[in-house]
Amino acid sequence: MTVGVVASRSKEDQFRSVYTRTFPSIVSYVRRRITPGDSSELDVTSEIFAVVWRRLDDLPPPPDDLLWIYGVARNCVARFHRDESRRMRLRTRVTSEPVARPEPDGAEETYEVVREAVARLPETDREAIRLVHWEGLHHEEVATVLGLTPNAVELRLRRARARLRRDLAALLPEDVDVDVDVDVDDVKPHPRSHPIEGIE
Amino acid sequence: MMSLDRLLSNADPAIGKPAMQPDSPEAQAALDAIVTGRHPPLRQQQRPRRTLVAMVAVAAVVIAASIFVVLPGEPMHSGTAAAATLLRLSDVASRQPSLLATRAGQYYYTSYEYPQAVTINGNGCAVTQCEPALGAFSVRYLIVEQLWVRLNGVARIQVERRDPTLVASTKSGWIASGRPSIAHLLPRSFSEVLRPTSQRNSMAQALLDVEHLPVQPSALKAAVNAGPLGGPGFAAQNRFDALAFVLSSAGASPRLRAAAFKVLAATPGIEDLGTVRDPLGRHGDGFAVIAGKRYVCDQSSCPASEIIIDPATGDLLDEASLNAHGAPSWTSYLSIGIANSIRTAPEVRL
Repeated sequence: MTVGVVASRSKEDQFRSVYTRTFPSIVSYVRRRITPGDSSELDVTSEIFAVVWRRLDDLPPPPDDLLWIYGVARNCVARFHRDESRRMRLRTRVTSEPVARPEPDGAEETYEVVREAVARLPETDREAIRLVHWEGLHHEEVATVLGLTPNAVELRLRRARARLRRDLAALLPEDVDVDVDVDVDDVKPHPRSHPIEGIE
Repeated sequence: MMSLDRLLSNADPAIGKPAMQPDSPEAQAALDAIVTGRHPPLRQQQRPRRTLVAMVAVAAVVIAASIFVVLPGEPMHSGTAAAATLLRLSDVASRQPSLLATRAGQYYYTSYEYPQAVTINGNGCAVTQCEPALGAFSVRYLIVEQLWVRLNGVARIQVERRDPTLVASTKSGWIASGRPSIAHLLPRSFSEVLRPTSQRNSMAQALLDVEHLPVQPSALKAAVNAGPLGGPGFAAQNRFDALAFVLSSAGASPRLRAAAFKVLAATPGIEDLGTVRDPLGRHGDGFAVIAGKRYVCDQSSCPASEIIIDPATGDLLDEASLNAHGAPSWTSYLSIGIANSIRTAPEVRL
C-alpha cells in the first residue's frame, strides 16, 4: 500500500467521522432555513459537506469544527435562496405540487407569527437570533460563526430582541403577552439542542 | 405571560420533525458521492462544454471561477474601472425607448433559458412529486420559458424542455430503473394560463414592484436595501442581485435602468470582467460580485453572482451565480418586450 493511499484513507476516515458527528446539527440548520418540505434539504446539506471535504485540512479541531461548518452552511443556504428567488421572482411555481401543510392550531399560529417576525430582521441579526435560540449556541460561538466580536453579537442580539418585542406586541393575539422584562443578558442558549455537547 | 426566549425557542421549525440521521440511506449515499468525487449538484449543473469555465483573478478580491468566457486579450478591471463602465451603461440605458405596456390588452413578454437537472425515481416520477426510491437518476434539460404577464394578473407561461441528457454519475440508477428512454420521461412542453384572482399573481406583482421603484439613484438604493427584492444573504450581493432583477424586468423604464446602473457603480466590491461571452455566444460587458467570509472561502467555495450587459443597449443578457461547488446556475435572457396578445411573441430588442 502506498503512502498516498494511506493518506487518502486517513482523510476519508477523518471526513466520515466529522460527517457522522455533525450531520444532524447541519441538516437541522438547513431545515430551519429553507421551505418546509423542500426536497432541496439534502442537496444543500450535501453541498455543505462537499466544501468540508475539500477544505478538510483547514477544519479546526472539535468542538470548533462545527462552528466552522456553520459558517460554510450560512454561505450555502444564502446561495440557495438567491438561486431560488431569481427563478421565483420571474414566475410563480406553476409546475410544482403544492406542499401540504396542516392547518395551524392556536399555538402553531403564534409560532408562525414569531418565525415571520424573525424573518423580517436584518440578515445578521436574524442569523444571530436563530443561532442562539435554534442552534443553541453561546454568544461567543455565534461570534465565531458570524465573524464578529462578542460585543458586536451582544449589540445585535439586544437590537433584534428589542425589535422583536415591539413587532410581536403588535402582531400577536391579545391573550399572548410577550414578557418585556427579560434583558438580553438573561438570554441563555436553548438547553434542548446545544450541538456542542456530546462532541468528542 | 410568555417570555420572548420561550416564544423564540418554541418557534423552532425543527421541533416535532424527525431529524435525518447520518446513517440513513440518503445521508450515506450523499457521503459516498462526496468522497468518491461523484457528488452531483442536483439543482444546478455544469455549464455546457462550449462555455468552459474561465479563471478570473482581480486585485483585491479573488474570483477564481468565472462562469462566463473571458475573451482572450481582454483585461479585467476592478473598482473604479467597473464604476466607469457602469456609468457609461447608465447613459446608454437612459437613451433607450420605453417598454411600458400602456395599451389595453398588451402583455409584458419575457423569454429566457436556464439549465435544470431533474431527479427521476425508479418508478418514473420526478423527485418533487413522490418519495425518493432506489434506482433514482438525474436528467439534465435546457429549459426555455416564455412569459406573458398583464398587470391585472392574467398571465401565460410556456415551458419547453430541450436536450435531455443523463447525468453520467447517476447512470447506475438509470440502469437499475430498466434503462428508460430519456427523451420521453417528462412532457417536452406545456403551457398554462393563469387567471386573475382576488390577488394579483406574483409575476404581475413583481412587475408592479419594479414599476413603482424610484428613479433617483439614492432613493433606488434605499428602496432596494429595504425592500423584498434583496432577499437573504450578503449586502453587496443582495443589491447586485436585486438590481439585476430590475434590469431583467420588462417593466423597468429607461430612467429606472439608468438609475440601477448608477447604484451598481456606487456599490463596493463589484468587479469589471471586461468583455465576456454568454452561453448563447453573445458578447457583453461582464460584472461580478463575490460574497462570503474569507475564512470559509477558497478559490471555489465563495458564492458569486455575475451579469452580462449588452453594451449597445444596456439590456441584461445573462445572469448567473456560482455555488460553493463552483457549479454555475445561470439564466440567459432571449427576449424582453411588449406583446399585443397572450399567444404571440413581440418584436424584441435583445
